[in-house]
Amino acid sequence: MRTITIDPITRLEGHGKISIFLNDAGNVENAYLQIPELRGFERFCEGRRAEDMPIITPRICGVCPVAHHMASTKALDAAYGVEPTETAKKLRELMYMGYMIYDHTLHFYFLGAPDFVVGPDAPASERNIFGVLKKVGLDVGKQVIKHRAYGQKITEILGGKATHPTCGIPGGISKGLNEEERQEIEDMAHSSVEFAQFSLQLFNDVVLGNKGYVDLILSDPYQLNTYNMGMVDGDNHVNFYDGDIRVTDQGGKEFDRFKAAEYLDHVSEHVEPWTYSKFTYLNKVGWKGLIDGPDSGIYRVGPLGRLNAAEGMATPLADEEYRRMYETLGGRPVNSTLAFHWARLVELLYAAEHALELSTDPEITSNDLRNPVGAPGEGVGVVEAARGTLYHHYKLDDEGLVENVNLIVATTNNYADICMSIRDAAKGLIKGGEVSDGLLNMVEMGFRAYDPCFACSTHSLPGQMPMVVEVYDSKRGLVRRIER
Amino acid sequence: MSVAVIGIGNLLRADDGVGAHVVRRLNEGWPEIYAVDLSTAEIGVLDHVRGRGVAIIIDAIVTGARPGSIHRLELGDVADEAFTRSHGLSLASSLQLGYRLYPGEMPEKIVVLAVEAGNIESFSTDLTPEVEAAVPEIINEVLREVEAVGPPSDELKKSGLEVQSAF
Repeated sequence: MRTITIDPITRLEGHGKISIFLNDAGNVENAYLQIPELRGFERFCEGRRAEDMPIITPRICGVCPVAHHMASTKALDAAYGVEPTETAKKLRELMYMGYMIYDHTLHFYFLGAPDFVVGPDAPASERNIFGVLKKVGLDVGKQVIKHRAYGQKITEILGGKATHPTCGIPGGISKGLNEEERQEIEDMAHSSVEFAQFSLQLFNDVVLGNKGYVDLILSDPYQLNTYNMGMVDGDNHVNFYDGDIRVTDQGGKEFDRFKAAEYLDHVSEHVEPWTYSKFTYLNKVGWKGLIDGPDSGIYRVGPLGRLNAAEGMATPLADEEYRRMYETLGGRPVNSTLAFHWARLVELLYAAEHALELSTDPEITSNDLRNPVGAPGEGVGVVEAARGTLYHHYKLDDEGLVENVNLIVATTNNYADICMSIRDAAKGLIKGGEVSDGLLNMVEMGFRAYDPCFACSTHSLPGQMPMVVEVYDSKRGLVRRIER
Repeated sequence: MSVAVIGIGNLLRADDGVGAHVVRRLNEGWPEIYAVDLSTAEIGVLDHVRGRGVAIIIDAIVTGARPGSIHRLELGDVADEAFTRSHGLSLASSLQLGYRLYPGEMPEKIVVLAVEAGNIESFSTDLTPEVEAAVPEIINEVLREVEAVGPPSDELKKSGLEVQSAF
């Protein structure tokens, strides 16, 4: 048997190692994505002042700080038994749309597009943003940089700081919006709607216009038949900031639905000895190992999980794109891992449209920013991070110091799926011991779609991620090691 | 011509936060200097260096030298293996992209002040005494660069790129 290990995984946060084990015939026997980092963040938080948590937790990693800030702030709302004012909710949500705009833009153009625009078989030295710009032109590059910066600017205006906001406080928000700032955000949101539409058109022309890519998206190695999870509003539309957690089954029907505070009754964590990251599963189904299908409690989160777990988007243009995606790919749910990229762009359009709606809301410049808090207790806060459902759960003592912390992050929710996607892609693509860089990139594409973040899933703080792939033969001898 | 000071690093990991510590002290003592704590070294750096004559980037480094020693590097010295940075581009690749997209707007000079860290493993918001002792010298380096370059032009002030950093 041969083993292929991919470590570090390029364009991915955290640290991981992919080991691929081959059998005597040179075909894939099994594949593992190991997360070798030790968690430590939850312990670090114990004993700290509750109000520091929204400032501390965004430092878990540099990628979704705004999501951690918001989940943390919402956990404090719950722990202090207070609902934020209507204006505070809208301001928080508007800031959150800024984050989604920049995060989704960055992922698509910098991380996802190299595989599709430049091509999965292109040499690694060209499969990057510079290769993308060579194909689509420098002007598109400027639009990408501009709108990523708009998303950051929206977050900064409302949050005080672009990457690590400081505005969230239990019961509200520390700063309001004046008319000048509101107008600036409205202009940026307007431009972002057009940019999102352009991005969907680009996806349409470059990816959907290429039969080879469509076949790749729909090919067997990239299909995973799991449950899907995401937050929805009362109309079962995708909602990043608030709502019920909805789980749909393999037929697209509602299977489970719960409030943030009830998450422990619905989701559990499974531990394996070969990795520091845990696996989550649905309690109603149970842990059956790394298999998909209705008898396995594994579910997907993130852009595709969210769209699958909902019945539409809350804004008109994004809803149209939502329906077009499902019509094109054969109805809901879509189980193709590579469709995450398309779903991400549909969400980008929603985030931009919703930012525009919120920035023109008559209440948005009100000064009613905070409600008084109650006594400290226990609370759960949930948001949809760019990469999927994010849970923060705190227990506070009588003096408002943190006694206990539990975090379930997006990548932990997706970890089982990521492992299966890697295994299936490896099985489908590595035959007869034939291992090329191009094949390994196709394996990487299987998990890059999730945009996983292992810094968060192990709650450690590495800041960047090296990657190794190792291939072992049937006698466990290392036959190939690729390091990036 | 003007200077942008960019601090990089995680404030919660002891000496890794040296960039943020220096930026905070610059904001307090020299509010006229444009200094931001960017925390993560990524594409966002372009939002702050475009339109500047000089960019000074302050980050921690581990080379085995005496903790607190200051390595003065040029961009070429930190051009790491491009594109391998996780969720985005590395600092060097981000700046390269900036020169590709905005050739007329990028700094003529980029200085990297890499401070040898003693401890980047612990969860702590404090610097170790050795690195703490180096902070005045780092600030002096920044002030020397600012003096050599002169104040920002009126054009830059009008462009709206002068945003107050919030720490």
